[in-house]
Amino acid sequence: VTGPFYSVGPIKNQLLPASNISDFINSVRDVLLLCNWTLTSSFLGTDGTPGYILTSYPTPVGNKFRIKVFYNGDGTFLYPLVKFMVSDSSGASEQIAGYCAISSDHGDKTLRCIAGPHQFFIFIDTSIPPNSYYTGPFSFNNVMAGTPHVRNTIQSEIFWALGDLNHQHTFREDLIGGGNDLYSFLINGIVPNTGAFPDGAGNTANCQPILLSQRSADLVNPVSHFSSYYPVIEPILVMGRVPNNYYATYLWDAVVFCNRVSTAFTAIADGGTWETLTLSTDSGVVGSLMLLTTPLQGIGSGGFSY
Amino acid sequence: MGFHSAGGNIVLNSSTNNPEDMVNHLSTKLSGIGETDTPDTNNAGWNHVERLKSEISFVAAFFPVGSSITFFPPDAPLGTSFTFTDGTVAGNVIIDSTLLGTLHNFGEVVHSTLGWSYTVTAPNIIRFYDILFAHSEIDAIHYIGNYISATVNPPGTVGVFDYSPDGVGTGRTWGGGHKVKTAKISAGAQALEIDIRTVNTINIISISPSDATIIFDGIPAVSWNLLANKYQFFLMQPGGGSTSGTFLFAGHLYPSRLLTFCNYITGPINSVSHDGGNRAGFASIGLHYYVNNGSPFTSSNVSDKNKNPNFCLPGYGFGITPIEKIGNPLAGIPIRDDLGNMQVYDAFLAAPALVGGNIRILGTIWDAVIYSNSQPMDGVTSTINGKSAYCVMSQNGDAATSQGSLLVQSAL
Repeated sequence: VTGPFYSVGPIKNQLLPASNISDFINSVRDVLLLCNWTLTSSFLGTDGTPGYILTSYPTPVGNKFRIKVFYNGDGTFLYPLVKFMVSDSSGASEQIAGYCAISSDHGDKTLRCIAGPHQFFIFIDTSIPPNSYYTGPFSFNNVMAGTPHVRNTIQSEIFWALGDLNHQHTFREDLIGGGNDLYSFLINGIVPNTGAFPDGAGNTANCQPILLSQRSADLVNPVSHFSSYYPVIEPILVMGRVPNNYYATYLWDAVVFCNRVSTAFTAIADGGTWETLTLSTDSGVVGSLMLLTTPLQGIGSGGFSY
Repeated sequence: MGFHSAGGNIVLNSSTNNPEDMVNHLSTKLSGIGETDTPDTNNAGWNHVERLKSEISFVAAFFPVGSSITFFPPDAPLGTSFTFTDGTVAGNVIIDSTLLGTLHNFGEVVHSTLGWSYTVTAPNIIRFYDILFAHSEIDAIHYIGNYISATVNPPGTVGVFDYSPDGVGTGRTWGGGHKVKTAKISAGAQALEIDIRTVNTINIISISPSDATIIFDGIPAVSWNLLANKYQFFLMQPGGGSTSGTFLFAGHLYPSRLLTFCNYITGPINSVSHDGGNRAGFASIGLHYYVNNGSPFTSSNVSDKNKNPNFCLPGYGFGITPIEKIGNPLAGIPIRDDLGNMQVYDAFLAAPALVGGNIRILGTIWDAVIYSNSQPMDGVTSTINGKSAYCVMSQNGDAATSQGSLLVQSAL
């Protein structure tokens, strides 16, 4: 194990009001600013709603990326959709990250956001009323993106993003993004929609952002230690075009708990509180992404070791 | 990364292709004691327990009066026979006083004063042991080829020597050898103790745990590479690949949490038609295997892969059924970072902790890592912590398996 990789920056874990378009967009701005992101620009969206372009805090090697959050009139089943775009630090290679539906018909919906200097995860917590009303195959409740930890010490442009479309294949439900949902990435100038396959580099398919989980080399069920405790490993994120242009990178402030989890649990380790983001009852899900939900208080108690 | 067998030696060596020499060589390189009592200081740090003498056993199907068994020691080619004079009942060996005397006095066959000890280990099984065919016990101890062969007349009338599939009436025995054991991870641990023997005249050696719960006797005495430290060793026929009878691993693993120790062996069985003991892929680490984490047991590969020993490493994060893994975009590719460097993982070995159980991580192979790329096997192509590393096992991977290599430190 070589991680976790700590941003050693502000970590915010808070509810966002998802019952009003402007309130939601402003709360996204506010939470990211609290995590040392910068407001690059602001603009007006449909119906005078606010729109923002925010840039993440540079990683130790200077990597950063942008998101654009705004409302352009999109909707689903009469629910307005706030749109998230993701791009490199200059605004290039822009792609759709995802959408969040704004709803209040069953009560004031909220979404949770766990964010840090280099990434954010917006997702629905159904344990908080009335959020359980707002889940379903065409709900839009999850969007997440970041610029990962990489080995190269020279600044580069790299990011990943996942969002709901209709199957909820984000890290909230699974360790692999994509499927029939939204995914995007940028590595070494390569984005998912770089021409047809096979491309000039001999690639034959996209590799959507995928987290690895430790298990048998035969890729069967999760495998525990003798103690019955399941392994915890660094969050290895693989993405790109295969078989020639892809990277293994690492999420910040995160680990992967190598077993399926259907109900969230928390843990205290390395001076911080952690929570399982990935919740699923699907037997094909073989692990859960755990996020640091509090700033580090000094590493010394607990620890993700085995 | 990894667990280091500090304080010991690491031996990478090749053996000769003669059973007696191979048995002596293995014992010498593991424990320092082999053909002679003069220690070889370039050993892996195992402990030599004792020299082993020959044994023969047979399972009696029935004992017809007048049938005979003829034993052939190497220096008595005409053999010596004893004839069953007691009309025993099928399935039961009755050794009357006359026969007992015969068993203890084979005249010229037995040159020592010990006679042949025997036990009736089951109603229809006789096991002879402490068999010496040299002219003195000292000579016998140094004579690994202290084997015995036997025939039954008429063929098939008495029983099966040793165990199937050696063949009715052909006879098969264990020759002499060495009992050696590993260093221990802790004072409360139980070292892995193994018997290394020749197996008659068929150019085979056998390796078995001393509790004899399984006998890995599908090891032909040809050219092997040995890679050992004080806790483990690998036997590998260079280029053996997926051919059965070309690989064996025996180790006192770095134990998983809550285990005091875990001893593990995998290798080929069946001295005639070798079964298992190959390097077709990571799953080969458990085709036929022995586990002892307190109570020893053995088992073999089954159709349910959740129950088969294997290495555990970070892999594709979705799917347990083949259909679920069809879309695996990582199929057959290494996991490398943005600098092109491969991922390196601990060499966690998972196996059932009890017979028939699902696999759990029971321990870690020493001085080893799993490298997230396939590598040519039997080569020293990489380094671990600046030390040369030998590629013991590798697989290309596909949609349903991870790509990787088991690299083991091959120099201090």
